[in-house]
Amino acid sequence: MAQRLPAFRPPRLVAAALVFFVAAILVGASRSHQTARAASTSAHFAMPAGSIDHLDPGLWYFASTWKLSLATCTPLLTFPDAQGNAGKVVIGGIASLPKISNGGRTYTFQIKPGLKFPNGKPIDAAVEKATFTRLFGKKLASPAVGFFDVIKQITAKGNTMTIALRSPVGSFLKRMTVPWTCPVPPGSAAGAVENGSLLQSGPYVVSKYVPDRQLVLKRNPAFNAKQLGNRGHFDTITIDIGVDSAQAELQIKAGQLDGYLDRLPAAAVNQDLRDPTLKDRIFLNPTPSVNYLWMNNDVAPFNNPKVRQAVNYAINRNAILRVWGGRSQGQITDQILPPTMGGYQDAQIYPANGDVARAKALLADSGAKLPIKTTLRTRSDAPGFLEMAQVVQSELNAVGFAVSVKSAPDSVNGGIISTRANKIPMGINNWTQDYPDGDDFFGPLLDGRRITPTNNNNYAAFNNAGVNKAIDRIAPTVGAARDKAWETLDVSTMRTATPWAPLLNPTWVDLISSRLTGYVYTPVYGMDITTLRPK
Amino acid sequence: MSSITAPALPEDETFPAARGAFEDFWRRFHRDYVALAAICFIVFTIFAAVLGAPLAAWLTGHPPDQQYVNGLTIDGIPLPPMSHEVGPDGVTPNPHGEFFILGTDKLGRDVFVRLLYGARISLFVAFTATSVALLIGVVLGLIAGYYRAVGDAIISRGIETAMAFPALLFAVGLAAVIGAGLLNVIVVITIFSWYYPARVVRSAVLSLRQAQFVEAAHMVGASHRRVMFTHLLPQLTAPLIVYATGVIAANILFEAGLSYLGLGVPPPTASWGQMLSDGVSGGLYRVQPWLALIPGLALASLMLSFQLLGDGLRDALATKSAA
Amino acid sequence: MSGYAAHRVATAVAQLLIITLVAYLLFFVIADLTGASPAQRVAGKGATPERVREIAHIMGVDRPWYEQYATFLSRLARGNLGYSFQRRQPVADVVFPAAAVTASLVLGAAVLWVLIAIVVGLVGALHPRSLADRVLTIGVQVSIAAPVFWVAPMLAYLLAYQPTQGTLLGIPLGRSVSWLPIQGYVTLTSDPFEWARHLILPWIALAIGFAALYARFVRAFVLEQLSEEYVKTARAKGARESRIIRRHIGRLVAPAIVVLLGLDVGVALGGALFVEQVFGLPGLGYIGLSSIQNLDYGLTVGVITFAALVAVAANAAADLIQAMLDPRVRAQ
Repeated sequence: MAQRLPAFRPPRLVAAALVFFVAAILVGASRSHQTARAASTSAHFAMPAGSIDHLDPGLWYFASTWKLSLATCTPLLTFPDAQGNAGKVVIGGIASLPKISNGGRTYTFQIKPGLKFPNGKPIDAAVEKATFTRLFGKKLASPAVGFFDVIKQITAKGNTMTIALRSPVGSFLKRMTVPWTCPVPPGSAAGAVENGSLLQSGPYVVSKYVPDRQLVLKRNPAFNAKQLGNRGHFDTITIDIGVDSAQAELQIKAGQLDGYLDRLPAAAVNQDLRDPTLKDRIFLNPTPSVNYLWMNNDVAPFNNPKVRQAVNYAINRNAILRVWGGRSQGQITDQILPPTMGGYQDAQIYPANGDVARAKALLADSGAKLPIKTTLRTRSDAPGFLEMAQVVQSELNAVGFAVSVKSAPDSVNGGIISTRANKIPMGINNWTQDYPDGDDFFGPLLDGRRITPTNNNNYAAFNNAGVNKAIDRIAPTVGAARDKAWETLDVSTMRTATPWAPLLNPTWVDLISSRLTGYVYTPVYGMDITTLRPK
Repeated sequence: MSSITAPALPEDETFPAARGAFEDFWRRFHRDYVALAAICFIVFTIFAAVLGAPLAAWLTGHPPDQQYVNGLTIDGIPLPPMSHEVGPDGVTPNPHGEFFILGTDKLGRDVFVRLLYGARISLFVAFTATSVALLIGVVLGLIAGYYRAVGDAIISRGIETAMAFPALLFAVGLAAVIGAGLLNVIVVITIFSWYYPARVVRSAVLSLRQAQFVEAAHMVGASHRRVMFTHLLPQLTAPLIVYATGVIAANILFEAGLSYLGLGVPPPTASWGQMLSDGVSGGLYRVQPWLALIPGLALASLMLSFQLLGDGLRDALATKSAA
Repeated sequence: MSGYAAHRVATAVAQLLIITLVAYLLFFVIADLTGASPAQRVAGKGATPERVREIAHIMGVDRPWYEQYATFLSRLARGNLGYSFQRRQPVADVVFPAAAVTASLVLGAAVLWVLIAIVVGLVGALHPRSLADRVLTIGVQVSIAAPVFWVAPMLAYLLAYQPTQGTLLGIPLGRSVSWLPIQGYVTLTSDPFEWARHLILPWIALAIGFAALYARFVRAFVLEQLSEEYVKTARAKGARESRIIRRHIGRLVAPAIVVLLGLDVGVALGGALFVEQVFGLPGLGYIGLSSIQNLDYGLTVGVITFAALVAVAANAAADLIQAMLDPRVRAQ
């Protein structure tokens, strides 16, 4: 078909569309310089989808929302906005440090004078007492109940609030630092209030909240900086929810984002650590948390301590750390309490690379029939957990187990493993401290008397009379002796009763944009957004 | 996948008397070098998956699911292609240690061996899901196109309903509820691909049933079933084979997408979709681009081969638009 | 006509019923069997079993599934898509803004891929076997094979991030250029230019695969038509090639593309999920995915119902329009 085919001219529509797109790019690019200048009074952060579990200060329990509590409320007692050991000292929050009397059973708090809600109403002892009463309410079903059930009675008069305990508890001061103690306005609903309107005692209040999309904070006009400190350097803080961590890391480096309020991907971080231009804005800090492999004492053969010890010998913790992201992302551990806990001793109970021969010998000794078929459950929606599970699977299979790995998003997985009747054999989870004391680990996770049929945190269903007695014995102690006692209990429990195979203590990495300075990593909550300010 | 339909069927052609349809087809096909290359690649992939994989595992000494501690540096970074495992300091390569032709993945496993074993899953899932989908689609399409009236109305509406399901959301929900697994993946893919062949077959049958040979068969007294399966079906095999190649290509991609959402074959089984999603997520492709490029190229090449094969078959079978 | 219209609408309603029923069975019955309890998630970590039962009663999940489904249908008939307990909002308040986002993404991408397909397809059809055609064919084949979840982060990295560090595909730029955002969404009503700027890369990512498929179709279709009788007639009459293409072939290609689009928009919603995740666009795919992860099944069913409603309504509308234009359809 020898024909002169026409030259090809694109239709006019295509040309018009192209002009519009190019215009958009040019206009947008020119505008982005303007918005950068206007941003000295506002900060822009991001977090992944599903980061905010609750904005009701009686209910929130995610590390991400507790990080936000540094900006949005003031608890009864609190920690300073400081790094390292300076950040671990309990100081006054809404109230000054209390007078302790009656052998550690009575705490008398003086609420600081001149504290007000934005509507002008005062924050006094009656307000704080009403906050506590609300926490115990059945309609709220606050997780605080498990930590505050030692409270017998609260009385309030003027600015004095007295808390009487059933029995002395050495960690009570620290328990009062949790964000559940943030005061709520009088007359607040007994049930959950999730729009953020109850957050009225911090340097910022919630000005806009679109669930799973955006949270905007603005300065709290009623915040008493004289009593509570000059906290917060921006007028507004915008937090985008639902941002992928890898894309956020790019945005921070590109100057389009100030910081990310969750974990950044390990591979990208490892690359950034080698970049000299990022040296002054990338920070590594140990977290007060542990990634651990728990084994269910209700399920054979994990009811046999020899089998649990065999697991501790079978795994190669160095290999697991590499898969988690290497030495910049954590350090291995075989103990329950993290190194950030006071009085920590590195006991090195089990060999870092494992000992396969010893593991096999222990298994043979235990009389368990090989291969041991079992299931390992973990969460699928956080990077690193499924990978750790696969490494553990391969290492255990090498000594005589037949492990199948099941994963699900945290909401599903958490529900399954925390229901005792499901009898899940083993799983990998993370536990981050609520306050810096050993009973925050031993109590919820290892005290057999606190196991509940649902919402149970003691996934291992561990109930050891000796350990329970030790927990009770340590309860009223204070100070360095208390820390030492927890450590000793930790090491001895891991040596003999061995409820878990602890894997590693994660390290937290923060990357902030080049325009910010004033980075502080508080040992309890992580990066403090109230100390960041433009250079 | 899109809903591009197959072209019109070849009607009664006027061939020179001596040649049959197959000779005609072969005459055109064997000169189409691109299609020949495509079919060679597919056959090569099948061989690599079935025989090459265990051979590679034996030659390198690396089983596909074996995790090598020193296959990752001390910072947890996988190794690039053509590298040795790291030594005791966790950074410098150990020239006497294990050698990895295509490097390691994020768990320290040999990428080359996993690539070959992964071909098995990708091919198996795609072929199985496509075959079942085609089976269902052909049967339903035949019934709908041939019987028309009520049967057609029900099946057509059924197809429309099935197409109105938001496929990916349902796939996510289904997999979240019934869990991941090889069988589940195949089931999910089949559920969301049977209606395309059904539509194609239905429209083909609708136009064919007016043809003369169908009338002739009726006059001779053939039953409806006989007409459908003995007379109509063979006329459809040619365009169906062409169409099948497209569906297989799309299902290979579907499996990759499901793996990316965490709904593919459960670990530690290797699949190209899983390897690709591992290489892309968490920005790993910026640190080790090979982990995304290698399975990506493999996937793209296989899909390309099926498409080119389909194109070649269609060109060789059709009389029109062979320009 | 009215008989056909009534029949068609009734069918659409039946289709919607089936889809919602299957969704309900999947997320409320089967999910319940696997042990995931939405009531527990809503009740919170400190809830006693009695409190969970109370919540389950408020949510209505303790009644048999057919009762729940009946309630759902009666609400739907009144225009109520349900309630999201996780977000404490009516589903409609979540779905409609998200639908706007997804519509922006999919429709914009559709425009882009049709334009690209016409250009590429025509070049290939008018100059078959030329160098341009061969290069485009290879490009097209490779584009079809590239998964969206691979293309999207690559685009963001190469075209949005690297310019901020001073390079574009290896070419040094001399300064940091922030011409495209790496992720994020701005509504059309608040700032049209920013809206477009944030959607350019997502549009490209979503359009690439479809553009390739449609380009193949256009090329094959136009090639076929060029050898048809009516084209020969037109040429014999002395018409210019460009007129033939635009008037005669264009009139045939356009409806064919529209039909394909109608069917593929539903498929594009799937690819949109990946693009939405990578680029942080709060669309239906992202909302649906997070609702499944949060056990917020009321929202999941709401999203599925909405998406199905749109698809079913679009199909019915297309059929009705065709029936109005083509009497043969009505006679069936």
